[in-house]
Amino acid sequence: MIPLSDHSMLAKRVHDEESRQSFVNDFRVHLASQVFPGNFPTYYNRVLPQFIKDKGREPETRHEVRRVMTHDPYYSFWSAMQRNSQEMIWDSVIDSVERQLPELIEKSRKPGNKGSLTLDPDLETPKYHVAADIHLQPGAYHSDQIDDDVAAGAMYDWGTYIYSMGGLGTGNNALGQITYGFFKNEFPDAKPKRILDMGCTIGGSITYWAQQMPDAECHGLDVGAPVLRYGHARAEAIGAAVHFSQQNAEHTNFEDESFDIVMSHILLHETSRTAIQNVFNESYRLLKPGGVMMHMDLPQAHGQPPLEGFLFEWEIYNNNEHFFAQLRDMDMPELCRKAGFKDENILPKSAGSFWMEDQTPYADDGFEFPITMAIK
Amino acid sequence: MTQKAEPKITLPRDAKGKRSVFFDDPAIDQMMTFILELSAEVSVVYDRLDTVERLLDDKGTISRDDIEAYRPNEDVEAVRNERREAYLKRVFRMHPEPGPKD
Repeated sequence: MIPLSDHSMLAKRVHDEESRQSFVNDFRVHLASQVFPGNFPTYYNRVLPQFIKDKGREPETRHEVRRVMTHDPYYSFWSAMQRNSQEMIWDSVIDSVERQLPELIEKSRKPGNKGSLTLDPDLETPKYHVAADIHLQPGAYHSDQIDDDVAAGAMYDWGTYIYSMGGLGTGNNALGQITYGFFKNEFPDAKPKRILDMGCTIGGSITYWAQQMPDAECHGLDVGAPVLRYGHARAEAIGAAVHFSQQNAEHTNFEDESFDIVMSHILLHETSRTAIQNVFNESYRLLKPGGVMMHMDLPQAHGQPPLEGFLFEWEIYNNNEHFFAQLRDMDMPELCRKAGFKDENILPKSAGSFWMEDQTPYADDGFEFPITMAIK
Repeated sequence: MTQKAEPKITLPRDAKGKRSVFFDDPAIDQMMTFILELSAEVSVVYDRLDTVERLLDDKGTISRDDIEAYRPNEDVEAVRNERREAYLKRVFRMHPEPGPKD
């Protein structure tokens, strides 16, 4: 595994920790490239013929496929390994973070002063965030285990990098690279002055934007204090000016019409049916006239064949991504319309492969993130 | 819940939320975790042995500090990556249903 680019907040790994993380990374590559593909012959040669024998027809929906595939031993073994690999990610990063936590906290108390950090200890963490630990990260993104805790952020930095098998890039910022490249392509002459990233966690994306647009005022918000403390210290460590604040994207304390860009990176599928509309409403409120909303998230179910649709939803049921099940079928332009955007200004697009760097075997995978874009 | 006492901090190790059960017998789910974690540890031991061998090749004699300080460069990591791939293929040889749609 090619390591993340070093910065002063990054948890250092001893010999065996680095080796263990490399194993988990390679194991996930093995599962994706060698084991996962076996689900297809298993389905077509074993599960589907049995289904046709029983029902006299092929499955019509991904839900029908789910009911039969989850009982197949090949699928079960792949699933069990995939689930364990997710748990092993965190297992492989906790030791180094736990050992260095006092010094990481100490460092985070004395960050630079390019950006800022504003916490709100009274902020209520939304139910969709506390119901289960998203992505199986023990302790989740919002729990403080000790005063001024940064552990969740330190774990997230290494953990998401291993999760993506290096796809997030050694700067852990590939999603920001995608939205930035997308925005520059759509609006080559735009000079946004104020930019907001909602649900920024450790700020990988907004920090990249801040590096590319040093004249813009860049803000990142999240409900989780430990990821924000870490994100702030991380941004300062790599020399980027970002203003982090602990807020809920559904209702922020920013003024009306105060941003040129309001965006998010795979935030929506972690929310809820009520919250997602609130996020769109809030985006509309915060945008200046002519401002751009860009919410990037995971592909929806429209047009996916039943087997592919079923396989794509593995993380919903096995990686605590529960709301994604509903988001898969939601009408994104309708959310924009309800928020106040005019029909002609709603422009759903897709952009960029996750696997931006040559270091992964997925560089030409063709996977694209949909972006719900609308102009106020 | 915050704890004031430093220096020892214990971070949570388990994620909140219902854990998926993949097999009719939950004991198999438990065995999978044992086997996979054990596989990770075998790989770590192999890397450590590889570190020792490489350092001995270079220096003739080594200390524990030498081992802890050792980090594979890109070429060494590429060799280890290839070794892990072969190891994974051997240990986790799967049996998909053979048939016309392979």
